[in-house]
Amino acid sequence: MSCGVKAMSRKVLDEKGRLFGVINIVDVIVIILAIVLICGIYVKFGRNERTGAVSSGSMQTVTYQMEIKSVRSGITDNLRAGDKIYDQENDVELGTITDVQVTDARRSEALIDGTVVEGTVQGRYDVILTIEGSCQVIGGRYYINRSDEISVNSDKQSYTKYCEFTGTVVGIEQPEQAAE
Amino acid sequence: MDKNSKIRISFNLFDIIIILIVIALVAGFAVYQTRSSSSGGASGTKTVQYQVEITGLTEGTGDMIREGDPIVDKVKKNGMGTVVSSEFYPMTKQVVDLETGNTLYSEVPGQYSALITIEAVCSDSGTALTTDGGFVVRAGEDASIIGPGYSGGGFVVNVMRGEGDE
Repeated sequence: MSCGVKAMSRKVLDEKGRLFGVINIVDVIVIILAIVLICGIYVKFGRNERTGAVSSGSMQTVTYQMEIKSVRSGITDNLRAGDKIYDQENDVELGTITDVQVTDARRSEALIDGTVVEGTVQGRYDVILTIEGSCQVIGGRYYINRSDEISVNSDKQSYTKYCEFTGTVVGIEQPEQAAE
Repeated sequence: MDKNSKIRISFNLFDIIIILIVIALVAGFAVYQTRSSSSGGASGTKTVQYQVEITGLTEGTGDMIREGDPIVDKVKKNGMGTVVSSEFYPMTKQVVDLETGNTLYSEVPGQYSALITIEAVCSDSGTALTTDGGFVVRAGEDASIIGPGYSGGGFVVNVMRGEGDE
């Protein structure tokens, strides 16, 4: 029996270390690793259920609003219409700022008597940015630049060339409404 | 020397496949990196002034900050530029007035802040201004700095941007 086992193992792996006498076992391992790496890259950067619709889906211009809370004048002075805005996590362009509304910052705080009021924040400002971006709308979900999903109440760590901040998406105009 | 001592290099089919795969991966990575860094459109270099506020300083620090001081990132040792001017004032802390709900900035006894205006030659990639030392100049960016004999931590609070600057 041991001779049979030895004979079988010799068939699988010959004396030169070649699998079935054809390919070196080390080459096989490297090829498998390369295939896994390529698959990983494809999954991360390539097709998925969204980009599967890319070839047939069309990009639409979508307008959305992002709120930035309690920032200093150095930030508000450096936010201007025409600036491009990017996602800090993946450097995807989120669109172009079309409007900047700055107001004195307000924040809800609890008073000593237990009630909650909206108080002012000294020296700070709230900003509403209106941003226009190329977007895919798939199943009611919005994908800026085909990759970065935006949704109301989601936070976006963002930057422009001159400043960085965390903003909250507070409104998305339906493409039909944007066309009006 | 006989033929057995010669080094023979030979490739089989699978070695060639592996080499092609590795070349393709390296080329793809290089293209991806190039595309990422070139987005936005580079437009050369320019002199930029920006302001850094550092906090939690001792009283004597203000006298040490002088025009012309070279400023370096404390952690990465990146060059950040040279001091143009500075202001030194009591540090403030954010507190809530529990009677009105308003948030105020009250002075903290014994601690000080400095607002340092720094000038640097920066490369403009279209998406970022970067000093020669690699420091990204952007309002809101963390800044931990060292000057001659002093150091401190804070943020970039402003970038002086001209009216026509894109």
